[in-house]
Parts: sequence; C-alpha cells; structure tokens
Amino acid sequence: MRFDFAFILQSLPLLVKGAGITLGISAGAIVVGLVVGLLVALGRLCRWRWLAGLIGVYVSFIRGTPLLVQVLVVFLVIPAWLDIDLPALPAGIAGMGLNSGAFMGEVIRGGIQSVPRGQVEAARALGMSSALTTRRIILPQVFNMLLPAMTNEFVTLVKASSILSSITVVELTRIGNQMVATYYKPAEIYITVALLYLVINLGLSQITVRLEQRASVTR
Amino acid sequence: MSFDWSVLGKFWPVFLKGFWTTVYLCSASLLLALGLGLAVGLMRVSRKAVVRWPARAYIEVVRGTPFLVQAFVAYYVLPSYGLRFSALGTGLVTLTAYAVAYVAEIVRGGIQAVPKGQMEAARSLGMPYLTAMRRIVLPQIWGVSLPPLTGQYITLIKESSLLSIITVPELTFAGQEIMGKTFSPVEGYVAISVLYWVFNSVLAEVSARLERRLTAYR
Repeated sequence: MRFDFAFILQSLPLLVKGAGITLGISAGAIVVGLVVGLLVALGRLCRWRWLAGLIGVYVSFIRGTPLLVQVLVVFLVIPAWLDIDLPALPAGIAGMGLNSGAFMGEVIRGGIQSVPRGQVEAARALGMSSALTTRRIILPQVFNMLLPAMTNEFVTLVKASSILSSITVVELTRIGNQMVATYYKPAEIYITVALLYLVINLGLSQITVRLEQRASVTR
Repeated sequence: MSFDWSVLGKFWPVFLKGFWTTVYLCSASLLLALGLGLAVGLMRVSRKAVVRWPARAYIEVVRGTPFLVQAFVAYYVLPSYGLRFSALGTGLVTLTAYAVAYVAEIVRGGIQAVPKGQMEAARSLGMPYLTAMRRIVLPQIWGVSLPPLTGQYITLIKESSLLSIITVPELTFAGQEIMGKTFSPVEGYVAISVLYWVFNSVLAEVSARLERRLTAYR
C-alpha cells in the first residue's frame, strides 16, 4: 500500500480552495433554501386551501425524487422548456436551494406553530396587522429556534454540493476528478477529498451541538 | 413547452429496465445492510471501547462524506487492491457500505429504546451478554426500527441515482440514455422524476401505515 504523502501535500492548496468554493456554494444554497422554506411554511399555513395544497405537492415532489434528478431538471429541462440559457452554478444553487427549502419549510412551519398563541393574540389586540405580527413577533423567535436545524441542513448541503460536480460546477469533488484525470492517483486524491469533507462536517456538527446547548438553556 | 409523448412509447423498455435495476440494487443493498448494520450497531453499543470506536469511526466517516465521493473511492480505488467489480457490483458495494452506517444507527436507536432493566435482569440470571441480546433485546427492536428502515429504503432509492455517474445502468442513467438518443432532456427526466416520485410516495404511505399499526397500542 504505497501512499504518496508528498503528492497529497502538493495537492492540498488546490483542494482546500475547492473546499472553500464548496462552502460558498452551500452558503448560497442555504440562503435560497431559507427564502423558499419561509414561502413554503407560510404557504402551508395559508388560509387559501389551494395554495397549501399546491405547496404540499411541491414538497412531496422534492421529498420523493433524488436531488440529482432535481438539479438535472433545473439545469437541463427548465432551460429546454423555456428556451433560455442557464449557467451551471446558478442552476446548481437553485436546485439545491429548492430542495433544501422544501425540507426547511417543514421545520420553519413547526417553529412558527410553536410560538405561543398568546403573543399573536396580544399583537393583534394591539392593532398589529397579520403581516406585521408575523414579521416582528413570530419570525425573530423562529429564527433563533432554527439555528441548530440550519447548521444541520448546512452539513447536508455541503455533502449535496458534490452532486454539482456532474453538471460541470467547479467545487471540491470536481477538482478532485480533474486532478485524478491529470495525475492518476485516485486513492490519494479521493481520500484527501473525503477527509476535507469530513473535517468540514465534523466542525459544523460541533457548532450544531453548541447551538443546541444554547437554545435549550434559554428556555 | 412541448412534450413528445412518443418518446415514452418508444423507449419504455429502457425506463423499465432502469427502474428494475434501481429497485433490485436498493433492495439487495438494504438486505445486506440489515445483517451487517445489525453487527455494526451491536458494536456501536458495546461496553468495550475497543469494539465501539471502530464502529463509531466507520459511521461518522460514512455519514460525514458525500455519497458520490464514496462511490468514486469504490470505483477508482478498490480495483488497485484487487477488488475488481462491474459498475453494478461497485454500486452495490458503495450503496451497502452507505446503508450499513445508517442501519447501524437505527439499530442503536432500537436497542436503546428497550428498557435497560431487561438486559440487567437477563445478566443477573446468568445469561451471557450476546445471548441476552439475541433472545431478549433484539426481538423487541423491530417495532421501533421498522419505520426508520423503510425511510432508509426511500433514501437508498434516491441516493442510488448518483450511481448513474459511475455508469451503473439504473433509472437516472436510463434518463441520460434517452436524452442521448432523443437530444431532448425533457421527456426522459420528467418520466424518471414521475417514476421515482410515485414509487417513493407509495413507500412513504406504506411506512406511515406500518408506523400507525405498530404504535397503535401506545
């Protein structure tokens, strides 16, 4: 078992750069996911039954189909249908964000419903509109509750971002592929790539644990 | 927005073959993972750290790295250690290794759901640890574990789509094949999306019903 450690040290700078891109992509995806998730959650709680039903179908689709297929639909099918040009990176982030949003939507909905009703009633009694109540009373509290779930979702997104390597997005996995194609040392390269993902995710898990401890203390 | 329905008419054997490969692969994988995952799960709850740590390390590594990277490691690295499989075989190995880590956690959850007093009572009656596990604890974990296990099956069906990237001829690969032949991604990918969606929705409903039946007495 000959492991070329010198090669690993040489390849680290480029791979770490890839890890940085991966983190950036995941950050973009989680922002999109939060926005979509908020819309999903509010849509599900809406009084208009048809909207809640439509969102339910959307969530069911996202949960029932593989992420790779969803990304391929955003990257290939939607541009073919609408006859537009969609670059790989925005398509990838959009696909991941739409996926993440469906799952986050359920978490956010739970969070919204767990804010004590009394607060909502008090706000309305003071004359605050429904929108204002949501914006200034409910959502800030939901956001605090969400932080552990969000870091968890971030871990999922970091792992999911490797899928984007198949639609030509340059992130950690794709850089690994390109290096293997150039130098043909798959063992050293892919194991280093795996270790980089592992380090990122273990670090994020630690942050999640700390956030969960904080959240449980303040209750 | 046009949809060429004739594509479905012409290529439905391709879809069917891909769908069958996906189901076959995931079923075989989960079955293998049940046995191996049980073993790793038992290791995970062992009182001996020497046994516990390798299991924990394995689970953390598999859960902390992307499935696609695991597939690449299996596809490119295993042959140099003499383990030469077909693409399908490599897919099975990767999927099973992935599933084992999650099944082990499900088993761990199931074991920890059984009241500790039962193991203590069995041990104080002189029963060896593993016999107590085999005859007292493990038979009871199925009620708690069956819903997460069906959930895991759904996860495997979805993760298996990544195997198309290492040329395993499953459902997503069939979609890519169709796109190659018709030059349109629309029909192929919409069709496989619907197939995945329907299959997983049925599985999810089965899982929900199972869960309701198993927790009815609580």
